[in-house]
Amino acid sequence: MDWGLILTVMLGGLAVLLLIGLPVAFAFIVVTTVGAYFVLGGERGILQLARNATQSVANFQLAPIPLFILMGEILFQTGVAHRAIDAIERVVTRIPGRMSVVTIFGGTIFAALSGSTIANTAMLGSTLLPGMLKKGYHPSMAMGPIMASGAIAMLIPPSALAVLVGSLAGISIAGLLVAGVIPALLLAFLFVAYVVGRSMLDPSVAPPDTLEQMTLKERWTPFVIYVLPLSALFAVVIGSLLLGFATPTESAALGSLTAVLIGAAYRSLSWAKLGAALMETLKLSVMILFIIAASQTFAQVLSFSGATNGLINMINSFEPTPLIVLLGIIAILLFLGCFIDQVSMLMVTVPVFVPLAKAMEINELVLGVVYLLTMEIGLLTPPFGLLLFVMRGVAPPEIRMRDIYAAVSPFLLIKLFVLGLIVVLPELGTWLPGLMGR
Amino acid sequence: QEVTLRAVSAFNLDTTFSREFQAFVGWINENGKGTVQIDLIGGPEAVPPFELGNAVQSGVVDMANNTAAFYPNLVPTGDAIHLAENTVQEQRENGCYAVIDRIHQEQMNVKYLAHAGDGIGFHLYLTKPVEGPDLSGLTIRTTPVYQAMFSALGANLVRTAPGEVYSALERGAIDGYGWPSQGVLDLGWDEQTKYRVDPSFYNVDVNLLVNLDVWNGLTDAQRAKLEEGAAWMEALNANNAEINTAEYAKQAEAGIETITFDAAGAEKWLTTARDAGWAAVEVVDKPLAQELRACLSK
Amino acid sequence: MIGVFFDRSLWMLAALSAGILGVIAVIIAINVVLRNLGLPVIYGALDAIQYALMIATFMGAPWVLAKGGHVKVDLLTASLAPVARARLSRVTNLIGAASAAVLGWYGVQAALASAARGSMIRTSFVIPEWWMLSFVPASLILCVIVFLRKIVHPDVADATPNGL
Ligand code: NA
Ligand code: NA
Repeated sequence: MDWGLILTVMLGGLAVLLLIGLPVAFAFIVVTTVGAYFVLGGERGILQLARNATQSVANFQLAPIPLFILMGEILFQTGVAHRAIDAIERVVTRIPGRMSVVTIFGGTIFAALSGSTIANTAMLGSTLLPGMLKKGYHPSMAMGPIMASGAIAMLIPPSALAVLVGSLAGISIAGLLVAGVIPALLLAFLFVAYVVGRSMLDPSVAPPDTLEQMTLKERWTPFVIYVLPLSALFAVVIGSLLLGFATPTESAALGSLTAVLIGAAYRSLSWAKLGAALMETLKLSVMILFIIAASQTFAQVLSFSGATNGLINMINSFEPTPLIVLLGIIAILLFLGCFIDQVSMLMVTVPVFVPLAKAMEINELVLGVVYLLTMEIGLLTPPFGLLLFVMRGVAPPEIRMRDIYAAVSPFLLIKLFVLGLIVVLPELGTWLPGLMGR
Repeated sequence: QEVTLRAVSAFNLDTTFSREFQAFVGWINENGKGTVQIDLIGGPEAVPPFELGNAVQSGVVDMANNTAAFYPNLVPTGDAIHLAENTVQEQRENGCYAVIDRIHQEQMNVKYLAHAGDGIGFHLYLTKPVEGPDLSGLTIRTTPVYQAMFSALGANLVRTAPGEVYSALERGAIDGYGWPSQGVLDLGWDEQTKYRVDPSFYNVDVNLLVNLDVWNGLTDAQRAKLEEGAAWMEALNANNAEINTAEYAKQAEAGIETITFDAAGAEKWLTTARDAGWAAVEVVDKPLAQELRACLSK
Repeated sequence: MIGVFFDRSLWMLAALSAGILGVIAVIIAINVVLRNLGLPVIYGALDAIQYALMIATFMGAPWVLAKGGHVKVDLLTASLAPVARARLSRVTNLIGAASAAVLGWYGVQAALASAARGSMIRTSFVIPEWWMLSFVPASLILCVIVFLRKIVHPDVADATPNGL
């Protein structure tokens, strides 16, 4: 069968099924099963699909996903995260769009404590969203910064996805982990600039709130008690990575156990809370891993049909300058990011893009950062964006999916801007790793 | 008439262990016009490596480029192939090829069409030096290929996901890993590797398998063309000595030093490799292991 | 009655899966400590954890589905009138049940074929392959029941996802 037809039918079918509200994983299962029947040769193709599904999540490299979620959930269930956010809120004063700025600060700090964009977004959403909506913040000023800064967790170490990109693409993992830091901080800065600017132009989107009068001590004491000790967690996760006694997966496991210890130290831990943290971890992990299982098999069928290669070859046929190739890579990644998960994006494209980039002498760290940023954008682009769904999960029922899409769009533009900046100024990604020296 | 076979490789295309296979595909598509053509679908992105054996068995793909270590669920004695000390040409002469082909046909429903990898040995790669064939105190990443041997030499074994090997080396979570003489630079592991231990042991086995129903359905002319291509591909194995030399030079350039054992050390190294390897196959099927050992040894 | 028993069973499978995730964290941490003390690590941990991840995913999935926790896109459905929405929801649940039934059926066939062949998984341990192949179909069969129940009792299906 013609790959163009298969691509159209599979993506079109997926879009329709998603639109009528079938759970994402099952929408993938439907089109993948039908695709496997036609592409993999009838019944034996579906038998093979069932086997592939077993293999797809039996993958050690996915272990950091539940572990980093568990870390966040423990901080969340024990109330440690909430108190930390409250403490941050006290010390951020007198700035337009104050709560949105708090969100971005909190999101960036937690990005360095958690490798899961999902846990980060869920935590920010559940702690800050209700208060912001109550204070009369426009939904876009409330949800946009949550999703946008929640996604930063992918760029700042610890980052499970950075590790995955590095290993699949053969890029230095330590280098790539460090390469994400400057773009992440730049993003956070631009987000703050945007919310402050917008709140100044239109104060109604972020009504100024009257803060209680507090002494300097009252203002900073909670910060010292509830935020500074979290640097222990930071030290365990990033320290174990940098000082070199643990691999990323191991630092994730150590991090979740340290989170348990921190919860215990605040006397906030109980068996019930630990159980609740584990059940919530399961819920989120299953949600992600089940989609990964379904969409990986989807990517396999798509690739088997020749659609993946056909699409990439088509783009390649317009080349060849390195800049055009890089832009082509970005375009394909952004396009794929609309429909499939980050792991599948990697799986499908790395075999073609990495040799292509090498032949074109595109810097490997630039390619790596481009992967990270496009994957991060993919988390936020409809119709399939994991963080959009997480936001849906924590938002009140009256918030519609289209409100969420609208809320995230200005931040998507900022992310695209930074992505463009990396293309023009590769040093943003390569400068910091260059200082490490091998 | 012309038939087109759909083929998948267990290894990324354009990397070391797809090299001979892709050359074979090129040769067939060049010389088999009007008889047989091969549609190379892709690598692990199309079929997961550990499922490729099942896919060629059931006919989801017609042809697979695969290593026996990826299908032990189907041919559990396949580990014997990498223990061979003779070449596939010699195995075709002495009848061993026929035995291996038979077990593939019986147990896996595939024709064992061709074999690449002769002359690509396996090495131990390390981040710290060793004196002799004693691995006690070292934590080594293994796959089933090295498990029996490294364990017999006293290593502390771990299983590490391929994507974690780089950072595990970097962080000292592992002190080394087993890998063939070629392909270390494909993975970027050279950045974190300081030593390669010589001599090499075993031989890489990369096998070209054809679904048996498809094979039996081909005309004599089509089968003959594929076998001609197989012989042409197997002749490429002779280039491996030269490729190894180039690869070792590249490894040295990347800062990997060579540790060469003395005669006694090398003897113990290779004997342990051989005995531990065959003992593991004997556990699965003793009579077959003995039959294979007799014809795969020098 | 049967409904309560079914829910309890789904919850127990989920609790078991959640426990598995906790054990994964502990085992990995134990291995780090053992290694840094220069002691031998738990050898089969990698393979065990790979399969444990798969088991937790598929054994937890029916419970997540019953809780309405699998992500959906409500771009269109949210804008429909209640009657139309209920009708569409019946259709999507039917599609969900059918797809899970088809893939589940072939999953059973794959497991049976593997058992008949006597295929063994040979990593750091040796176990029958069909054991691991059984989790996907088992999960999908439970999902079929959950979808069918949502058709019969739409009120259960309308539970809003929360607590992420
Ligand atoms: Na992070
Ligand atoms: Na997306």
